[in-house]
Amino acid sequence: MNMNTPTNTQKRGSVLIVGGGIGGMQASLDLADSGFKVHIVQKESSIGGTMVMLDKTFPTGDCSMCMISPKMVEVARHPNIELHTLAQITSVDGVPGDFKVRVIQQPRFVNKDKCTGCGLCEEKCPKKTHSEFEQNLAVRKAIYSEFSQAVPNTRVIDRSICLYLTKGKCRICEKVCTANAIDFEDKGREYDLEVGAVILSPGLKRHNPWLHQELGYGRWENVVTSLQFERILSTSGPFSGEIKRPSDQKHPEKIAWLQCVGSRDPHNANPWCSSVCCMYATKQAVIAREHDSNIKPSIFYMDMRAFGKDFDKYVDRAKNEYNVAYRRSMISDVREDPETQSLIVRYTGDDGKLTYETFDMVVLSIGLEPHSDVHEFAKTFGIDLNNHGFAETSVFSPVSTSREGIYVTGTFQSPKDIPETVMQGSAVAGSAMSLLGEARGSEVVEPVLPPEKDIEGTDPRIGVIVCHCGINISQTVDVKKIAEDVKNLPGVAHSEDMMYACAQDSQAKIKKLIDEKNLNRLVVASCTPRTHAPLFQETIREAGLNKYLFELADIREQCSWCHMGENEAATKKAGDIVRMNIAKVNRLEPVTTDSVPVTPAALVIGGGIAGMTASLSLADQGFAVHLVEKDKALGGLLKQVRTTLEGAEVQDFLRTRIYDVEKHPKITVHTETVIEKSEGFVGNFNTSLSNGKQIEHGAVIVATGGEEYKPEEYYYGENRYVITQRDLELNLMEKGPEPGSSYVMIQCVGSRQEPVNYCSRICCQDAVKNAIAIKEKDPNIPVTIIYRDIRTYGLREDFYRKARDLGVLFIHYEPDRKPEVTPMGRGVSVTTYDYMMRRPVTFQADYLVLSTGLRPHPASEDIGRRFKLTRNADGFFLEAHVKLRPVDFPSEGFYVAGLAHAPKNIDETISQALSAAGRAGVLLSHDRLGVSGIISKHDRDLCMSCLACFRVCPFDSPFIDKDGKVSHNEVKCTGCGICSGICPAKAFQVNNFTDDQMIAMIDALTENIA
Amino acid sequence: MIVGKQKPLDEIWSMIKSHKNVLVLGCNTCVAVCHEGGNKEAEILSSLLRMRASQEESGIAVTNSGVERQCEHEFFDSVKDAIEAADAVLSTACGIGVQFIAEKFPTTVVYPGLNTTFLGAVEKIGVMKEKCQACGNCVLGETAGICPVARCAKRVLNGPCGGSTKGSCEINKEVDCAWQLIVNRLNALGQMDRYETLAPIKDWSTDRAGGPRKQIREEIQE
Repeated sequence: MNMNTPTNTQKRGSVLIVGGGIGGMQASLDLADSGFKVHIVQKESSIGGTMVMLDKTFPTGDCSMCMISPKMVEVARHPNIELHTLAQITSVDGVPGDFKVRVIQQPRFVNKDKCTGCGLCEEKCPKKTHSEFEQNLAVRKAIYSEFSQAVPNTRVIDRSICLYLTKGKCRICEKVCTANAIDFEDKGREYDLEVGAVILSPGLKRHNPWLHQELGYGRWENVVTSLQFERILSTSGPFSGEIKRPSDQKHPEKIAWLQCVGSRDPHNANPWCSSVCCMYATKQAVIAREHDSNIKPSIFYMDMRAFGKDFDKYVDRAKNEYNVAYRRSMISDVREDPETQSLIVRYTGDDGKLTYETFDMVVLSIGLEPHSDVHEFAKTFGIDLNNHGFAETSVFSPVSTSREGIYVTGTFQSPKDIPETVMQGSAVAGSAMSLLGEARGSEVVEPVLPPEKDIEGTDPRIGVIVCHCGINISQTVDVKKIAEDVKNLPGVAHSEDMMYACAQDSQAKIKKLIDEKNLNRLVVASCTPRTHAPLFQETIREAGLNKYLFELADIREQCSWCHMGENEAATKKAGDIVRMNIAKVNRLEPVTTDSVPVTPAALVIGGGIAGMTASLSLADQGFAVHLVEKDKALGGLLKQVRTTLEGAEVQDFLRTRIYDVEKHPKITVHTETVIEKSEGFVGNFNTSLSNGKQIEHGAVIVATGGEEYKPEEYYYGENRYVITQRDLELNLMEKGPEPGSSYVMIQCVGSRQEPVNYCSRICCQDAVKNAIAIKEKDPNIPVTIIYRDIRTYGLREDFYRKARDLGVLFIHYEPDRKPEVTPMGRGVSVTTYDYMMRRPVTFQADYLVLSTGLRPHPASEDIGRRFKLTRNADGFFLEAHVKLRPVDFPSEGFYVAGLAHAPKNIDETISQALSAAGRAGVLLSHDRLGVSGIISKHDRDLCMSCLACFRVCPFDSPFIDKDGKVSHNEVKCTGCGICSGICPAKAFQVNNFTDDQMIAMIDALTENIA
Repeated sequence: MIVGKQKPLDEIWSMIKSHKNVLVLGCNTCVAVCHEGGNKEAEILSSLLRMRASQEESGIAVTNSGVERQCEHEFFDSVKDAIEAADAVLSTACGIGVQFIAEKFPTTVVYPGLNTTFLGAVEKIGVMKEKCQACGNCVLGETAGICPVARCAKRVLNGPCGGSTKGSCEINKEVDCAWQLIVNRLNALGQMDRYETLAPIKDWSTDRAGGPRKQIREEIQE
């Protein structure tokens, strides 16, 4: 049976995505890249979600906006993606594969086809209000864009405060708009979309801390939310990245973070753990110290839930390198010192006594919760919610809602961080691809383009367009003078200034110019190439020129904006920038792009639940799959697990999945088989297996899994009363707890300290699961769990609470005071230090249960070496980017899933496997793989095979060929240019960044100097 | 491979500064692989010298060119005119190339841009290690493929000496004791019995001791 029930209706090749945050964007790009039409419906005026508000992301400290904004631009420019902003869905009819949805779009009052995003209207608008994006720390106007990188890059009028729309007077925006884009008559619209599948990625809202009066939010000015603190940290935020406190703009020294505000608090707020706050507080403390080394951060917490990959190491670094103080204590009260406006925090100190400590600023780590209209939302889509208001899903199909054909991703499924949201983004894309497989490509249109003109042997005839950008450029730079000055430069055939070079009518004008003046190259002097180069490239391509015969001279971001008020110097600099680009463009050559065929099959390594799930998803998408497993039977580590924390029967599920895999016509299972040899590159691999089979495939999914640690600690293996959680689980299933017995469990055995300094993520839940099983059978059996931090993150917190309610005793320990175990005649005696009573306590138990955690599978090392895939210090495979590419490897065509990547739970493994299948599906759906134009070209005649390139290339694109010399595989090349930098023979030149082009630019800049 | 290292810019500048018209000439074989003297390095060096000239307000003109190998006559045809037009040539070849130019162009001043450092191998990118001293009488067959002439500070032929400590040479802990390496490898090859054989006194006449060397291959000699 397929994972999706087959239906008889004709399926549609389009998908609706509700919510354009990072998860929705990932899903839409994956789907759109693999031939599906995507409609993104976004309630706000811009896509971006929560991630755009963040300053930086851990552990790399990458700027959040710099990571997400290229993705937003990609979404906006994608020919297969249609954005519906300010829109909501009101009904969903039809069947899986063929839904009809009704969309209501609110009026924007700005025609986004005419608007150029110049922002003059916003500057002149007289009406101000608090900025939602800046979390009320700054103001915005009535006509505004949520943030400067908003997509679509156009303004919106807030009709609740606009003077004209509320009082009938003003219309200043309309007067100043030279593009005629303001439309007060906009009434919004209502229309239907027909789609094959629906993906829900609405995200979550943040808890309102005002409810917790004792913490003083809304009363004391220097108590801020964690999201406000993100904006305070941000260089584009209200304080330009300087850390100031709101009351007096002074630099705070002592800052306290209070964790679990609105989370893990069933009486006053939400019972679940929000999963992300421990790490974002740690990150904020670290970044705050990086901004200002005088800051002394303290984090007040209950359990440090650093459960993700390499999270514990990050927390250790925060402690040891950034002096972040972690204090295990909850705060009962925050008061303001009226004279200094500093805050007095009341808590129980390390000595057990009530302590009052003054901080300059307090940050509330607010949790995540479903949107307030979630019940109506669920009704519209006809899906079930769980008792907390999150979409109801099951452990074994974590991205499917209760209604077939409607999938859920991101924080609406359960609280989660960015990488897991991205992962689920690809997972829902993969699921939708499985459902709609055959309809792929049916609703996308390929643009028809005129043939390219052959310009070989002709002299350059360059057109130069200098843009005013409304007044963005022209109020600082003398645009007309620049257009005039460059007229007689070598190669320039035409030069003029335009009000908005990017406007629709300007594109028509540029095309006409190319035709009339017989131009063969173009320079546009305007804004950033990041957002606008592709537009002009398309325009010249439509006019019959190779799109690489274009260069954008940035005289806005890199000139007029940063030199405002210095008109003369700015004009000179803009002139230099334009001359440099003209010098370069004189030397541009058309770039032809190549393509290679793709074998529509995948090799999946590892027949555990990750490998099987990925195989099924890919097979349902229509691709051939070779599943290689070194053991006799499929199933992997899951064979040893009986139930999940939620109580689902694992073995039933596993049996069904194995059956489905084995009988799927597209899947070939190779058991007792290993990989002997593999050659090739993305789209074109050739692998020999130990069973003698030769297979050709286009992608590789690495799902080599992990294994459970067999402890050497605490007499395990010597004493029959010392067992692991897995042993206990089996005992409980087979026999149940022994009446009259008692259990003590010790967490983190062999984990979370050097040399195995990571959290295995599953052991807290295993302990809680088994403890509940014991207590439910016999409430009189004493169960004690000795733990470091209980990490029942997300909705798993319910079970921790349940265990406590059932009378399970939890005692905290620190690694420098580990529990001591003495074997007895029957059972053991365990002594541990009780931090509450401040003295050691001893337990007699019939069974000591060790929570032992996961290790990477030993086979990972060989697979890693064979395919040149890197692993981290702990032996888990390293993904291409910890935030945004969580299942990709840096080498194209390779994907990772399951325990091979990091310890994780069953539902997370399944999500990641679907995600890997989604990513692989994007690749395999192409008949041919286009090679990018901007790549390094290798001249074999100049090359002396010194191997410098071969050694430094991160993508292995230079290789030693059959002649024993260096050749270059352009398919793998990303155009990063490292080879051309290192090559002593200049045998590598990156298209459009060749040495002679760069030197010409430098010469053009320097010829006037001296 | 011959390994070289660019001389400090100050030293190069003081050599050429009295000239009017200097040609920096790269050699695109051994020293190019070292990233020290290839045609690209020559181009960079000449650019650096032009900047220096402009800083010092000197009227000196610096141009650059290069050949495949500066130790063979035929390669010079393409740069003959450029060399004759210059009043000095700064060669970024090894010492062989510099002398070759001096012999070929009797009236042109020639300066070395590099110090020729040793005959070595590319250990990994950017790391070159000495392996051979061209003694003319190879003993590697007796020493398990590790050369005591090039890699032992004392050129001891029956080692190690008393200065060998924990595998390192007494002159510097970073330098492996060649004889320790030889013993380790003989051990690994199961040939420790060969270690017992004493090496006779080496004939150094094939080395520098016999004066400058010359070699003729009769059957292909023109």
